Amino acid sequence: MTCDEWRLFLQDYLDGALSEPAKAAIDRHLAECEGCFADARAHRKVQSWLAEQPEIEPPAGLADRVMARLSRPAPGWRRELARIAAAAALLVGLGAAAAIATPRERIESVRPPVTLEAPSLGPLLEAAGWRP
Amino acid sequence: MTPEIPDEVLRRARLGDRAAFRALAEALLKYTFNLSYRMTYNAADAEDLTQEILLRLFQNLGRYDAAQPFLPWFRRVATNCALNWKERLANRRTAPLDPELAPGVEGASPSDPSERLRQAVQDLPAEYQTCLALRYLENLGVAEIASTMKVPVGTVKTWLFRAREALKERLKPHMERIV
Ligand SMILES: [Zn+2]
Repeated sequence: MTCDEWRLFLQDYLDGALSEPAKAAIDRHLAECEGCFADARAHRKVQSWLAEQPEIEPPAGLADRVMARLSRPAPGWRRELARIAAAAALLVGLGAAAAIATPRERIESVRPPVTLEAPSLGPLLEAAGWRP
Repeated sequence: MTPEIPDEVLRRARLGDRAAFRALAEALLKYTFNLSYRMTYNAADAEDLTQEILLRLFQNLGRYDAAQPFLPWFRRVATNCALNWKERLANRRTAPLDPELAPGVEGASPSDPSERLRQAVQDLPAEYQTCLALRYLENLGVAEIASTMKVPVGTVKTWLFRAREALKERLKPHMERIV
């Protein structure tokens, strides 16, 4: 058994899945070769550390927090809704400001081509997946 | 660790029953949190990832084919979600770390071998972490890991081997203290 050969059986060696003669051949090499002995020991340490990682308990209230997130729109949609609402407010505000501050004949040129008003948001929000 | 999911809970959750979905989320909570922890080694990130996975489950439950076993399907949803989440996180955290805080910097490394290994796992590619989590949390075989991650068996073997090699290399200089 050479320094390269035994590594081909490393996983089975660590898992204790090798036949007795194969295991004995590897053990003989490790007993003679300091470098491979250190290497095998490090592999065994990593393997047992990985296998012995304890299971941990989830933090209290985590299921509640998951359910709470299900009950509100995803952050992307919330940003979108805020943007739509801001745009609507701006358009409505512009219309009102124009009505107050502008002579009547100029209103048409100032008023935006499409005016979003609060009642028209309903179907839009519904189409966007919003459930009140 | 393998979660137990009552058929009736799953059936009602698929029909959109909120209470049943909550029962399903609770049945999967510990498994999902432990999987997430092994992808992050950080309790806050693990909670965030757990929430993402369970939300993704909720969104995708309608696509689950009840003729197939649930857990392998859920594992695929969870690991896909985890890999996407890690990618987004990596993109957010590309700003250079304070070298004093960066892992692997000599002098900043903890002497506790367990802590060194935890840091070493954190530094592995996300695919390696996924393999390690499935292998050592659930004791899954290479073939099951491969079908979960939709990659060839040989790829999983290579990832597992490289992951252990990388961990071993991080541990080796300190072996004399561990024995
Ligand atoms: Zn040797």
